[in-house]
Amino acid sequence: MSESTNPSPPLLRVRNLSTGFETPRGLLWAVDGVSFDLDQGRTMGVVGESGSGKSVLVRTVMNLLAANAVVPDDGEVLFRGRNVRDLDAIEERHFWGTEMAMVFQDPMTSLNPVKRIGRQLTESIRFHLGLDDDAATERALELMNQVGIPEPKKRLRQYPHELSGGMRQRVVIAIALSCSPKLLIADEPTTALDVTVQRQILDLLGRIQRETDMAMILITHDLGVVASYTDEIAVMYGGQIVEHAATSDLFEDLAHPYTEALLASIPRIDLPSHARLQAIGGRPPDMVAPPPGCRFAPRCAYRTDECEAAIPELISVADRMHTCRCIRPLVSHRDVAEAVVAPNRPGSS
Amino acid sequence: MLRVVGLKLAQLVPVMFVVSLASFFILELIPGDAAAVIAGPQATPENIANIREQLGLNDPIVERYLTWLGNVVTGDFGRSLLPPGRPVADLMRAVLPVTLQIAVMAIGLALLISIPAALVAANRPNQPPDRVLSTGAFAAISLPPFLAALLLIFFFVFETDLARWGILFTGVVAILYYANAARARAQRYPAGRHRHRYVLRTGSVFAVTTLALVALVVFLPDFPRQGFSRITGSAGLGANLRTAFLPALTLALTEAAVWMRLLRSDLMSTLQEDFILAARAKGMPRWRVLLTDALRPSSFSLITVLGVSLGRAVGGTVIVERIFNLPGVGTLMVQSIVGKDIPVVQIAVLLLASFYVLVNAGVDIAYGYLDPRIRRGRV
Ligand SMILES: Nc1ncnc2c1ncn2[C@@H]1O[C@H](COP(=O)(O)OP(=O)(O)OP(=O)(O)O)[C@@H](O)[C@H]1O
Ligand SMILES: [Mg+2]
Repeated sequence: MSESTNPSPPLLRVRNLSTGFETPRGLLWAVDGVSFDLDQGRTMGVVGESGSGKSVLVRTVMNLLAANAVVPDDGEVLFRGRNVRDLDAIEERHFWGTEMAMVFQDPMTSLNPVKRIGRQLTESIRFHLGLDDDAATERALELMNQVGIPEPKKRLRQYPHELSGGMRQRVVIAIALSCSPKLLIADEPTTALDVTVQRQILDLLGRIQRETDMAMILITHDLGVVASYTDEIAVMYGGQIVEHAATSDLFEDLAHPYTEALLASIPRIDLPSHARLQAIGGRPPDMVAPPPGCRFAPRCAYRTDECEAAIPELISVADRMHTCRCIRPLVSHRDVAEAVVAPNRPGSS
Repeated sequence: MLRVVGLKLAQLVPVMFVVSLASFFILELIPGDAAAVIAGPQATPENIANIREQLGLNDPIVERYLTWLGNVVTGDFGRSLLPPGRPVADLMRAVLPVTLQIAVMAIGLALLISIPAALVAANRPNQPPDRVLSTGAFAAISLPPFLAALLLIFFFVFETDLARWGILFTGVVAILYYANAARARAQRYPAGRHRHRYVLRTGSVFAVTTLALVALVVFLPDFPRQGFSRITGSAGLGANLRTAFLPALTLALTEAAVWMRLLRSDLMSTLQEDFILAARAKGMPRWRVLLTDALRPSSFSLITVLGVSLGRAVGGTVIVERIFNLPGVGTLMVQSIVGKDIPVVQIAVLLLASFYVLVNAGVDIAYGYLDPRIRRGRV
C-alpha cells in the first residue's frame, strides 16, 4: 500500500510484456502489453476467463516457455532489478526454485508419477542448497511439517499415487517452498481439488506467505479466493490487464465492464466462498486476429462505436493505484450519475 | 520385489505347459505317416519301422507326450535322426551360446545407440542433430538386413580405410557442431572464474571425446569376414568379440533405428507433461530433467519392443547367420526342418519358446519397476 513512500524498486516489475506463440494460423498473442509491480510480502490475484493468458503471463515471468513462444525485446521482467531474460547461466541456474517457485494447477500431473515423494522433495534442496542426503531429508521433513503433512517419514517413501489430492498439493507446495523463494506463483492451485480441501490449501498458502514474507501471485477462477486472500487484483482479458486495483477498491469501485460482468455472474455480491465464474455472453476474443479496439467491446453491455476505434489505454480511475483499460470506466458513469443526481439530493452541496 | 518375481514365475507354469504341448505336437503337423515322410522316398520298410520305433509312434499319443516331457524335464533331449545321430543336447549346446551371445550383444548395441540418440533428438526436436539422427534412423529402418550386413562387411572388412575416414568425418562434424554450441553457451557465463570453469570442464569433455574418436579410428580392429570364434576357443575373448561384432551390429542397426524413433516420440510427449515443467521450475538442469524425470516414464514401449526383439534375435536370424557363416540356432533349425529332424526341431522350439516366455515375463516385471502404479495393481 505504501508504494509512494517506498523509494526502493519493487521485487517484481513487469513492463509492457508480451508473449506470442507461433501457430499454424499465425502469431497468437497470448499476453499483450502487460505491466505491473509487485512488492515483497504482497499477494496479487490474477483473474480472468480460461484462455485469457494468465498461465502464459506467469510462465513468461518465470522464463519457462515452450519453444514456439516469442517474447519481444521491449517487454521487461525485472526481478530485484535484474531482467530475467538477461540472466547469465550461473544466475539462471539458481533462479528457478530459489528466487521464484511455482505451484501448478493439478497435483495429479505436476508430480512425477514414478519418483518417490522423498526424492522429488530433496532433489532441489540438494541441488540448490548443496546439502547432503541426511540434511536434505531433515529439511524435507521440516517442510512437510510446515505444510501439514501427517506422518512425513512414511510419506517420503511413497509415490504420488498413494497420496490424496490435497496431500499431493501440499507436497507440491513443500517442493515450491523448499529453497525459500522470494516469489511464489500459484497457478490455480485449488482448481483440481474438492471444495473442503481448497480452503485448507489456500489457508496454508496464506499462512506461509505471511510467515515467510514472500510475494505471491495467485491465479484463480474463484472470486471468493481473490477477495479473501489477496492484497490486490489484476483482471485479465484477451491477454491484457483490463483492471488492476487493491482488492477492496476493486470490489467497491469496479471500473471495467468486464469486471462487472465477472462479478455479476456470481449469485450474491457479498461473495459466497466458492462462487465460480459463470460464462459471460459471447466468446473470448480470437488472439490471432483480435478485434481492433477494446477486446471486450463485442461482448460489452456499454459498447459505443468509439470503443472499437482503438485499444484503450490503461488509465487511473478513482485513485492512482486503481487502473482500468476502458474509455468510459464505470466509476465515471457513476460519478456522472451522481453529479446529475446530487443537486436534487437533500442536504448535499 | 521378490514376491512379484515369484508370482510371475508361478504364472508361467501353465504357459510353459502349453508351450511344451505345442512343441511336441509339431510332429503331428506332418500329414500322413510321419515316419514314412521322415524316412523319405527311398526308405525301406525297416527304416520306417525303425524311425517309428525311435519316435515311439506306436504308443498312444498321451503316453508319448508324457514320456517325452518326462525325458525333457530330466534333461534327456533325445537324439537327432540325421546321421551321425548326435544327441540333441550336444547340438543345442553348440549353437545356443553363439546365438545368445550375438542376440545379447545386438540388444546391448541397439540400446547403446538408440537411447543417447533419442535423448539428443528429443531434447531439441527439429534441430540439426535431431534431423540427422531421424533421417539416419529412417534410412536404417528401410535397409533390409542382408544389405546392411553386406554394407558393413564392405566397409569394415574390405574397405577399412573408407570406414576410418567415415568415422573420423562424422565424429569431427559432430564435435565441431557441439563445440560451436558450447562456445555460445560459454558467453552466458559471467566472465572470469565461472566462465573459466565452464570452459575448462566442457573443454576436457571435448578433449576426451576427440581422443576416443582418434583412438577408435587408429585402433579400429580387424573384423573377420565370416566364422565364429568361441569364447572358450584358443583365440580368446578378443577374437570372439571381433567375430561377433559385425553380426550383432547388423541386427542392432534396424532395432536401434526403430527404438530410437519410438523412444524419441515417447520422450517428446513426456516432455509436454506438467511434471517436467514442474521439475524445470524447481531449477533442475535440462539434462538432469531429461535423464531422471523423462526417460523412465517414456520407456514403456521401448521395453515392450525390446522383449520382442530379444526373442526374435534368439529365435535365430538365419540371414545374418548365413551371411556371416555362424553356427547358430537359425542355421540348425533350417537344417533340421529341411532334413525332417523332428526331435531337434521339437527341442529347439521348446527352448526358444521358453526363452521367449521368460523374456516377456521379465518385461512384465520391468513394467512394475518402471511404474509403481502397476506394481501395486499386479500383486
Ligand atoms: N505452447 C502454446 N502454443 C500455442 N498457443 C498456446 C501455447 N500455450 C498457450 N497458448 C494459448 O495461449 C492462450 C492463453 O493460454 P493460458 O494457458 O495462459 O490461459 P489461462 O488464462 O491460463 O487459461 P486457464 O484458466 O484455462 O488456465 C490460449 O489461447 C492458449 O491456447
Ligand atoms: Mg492456466
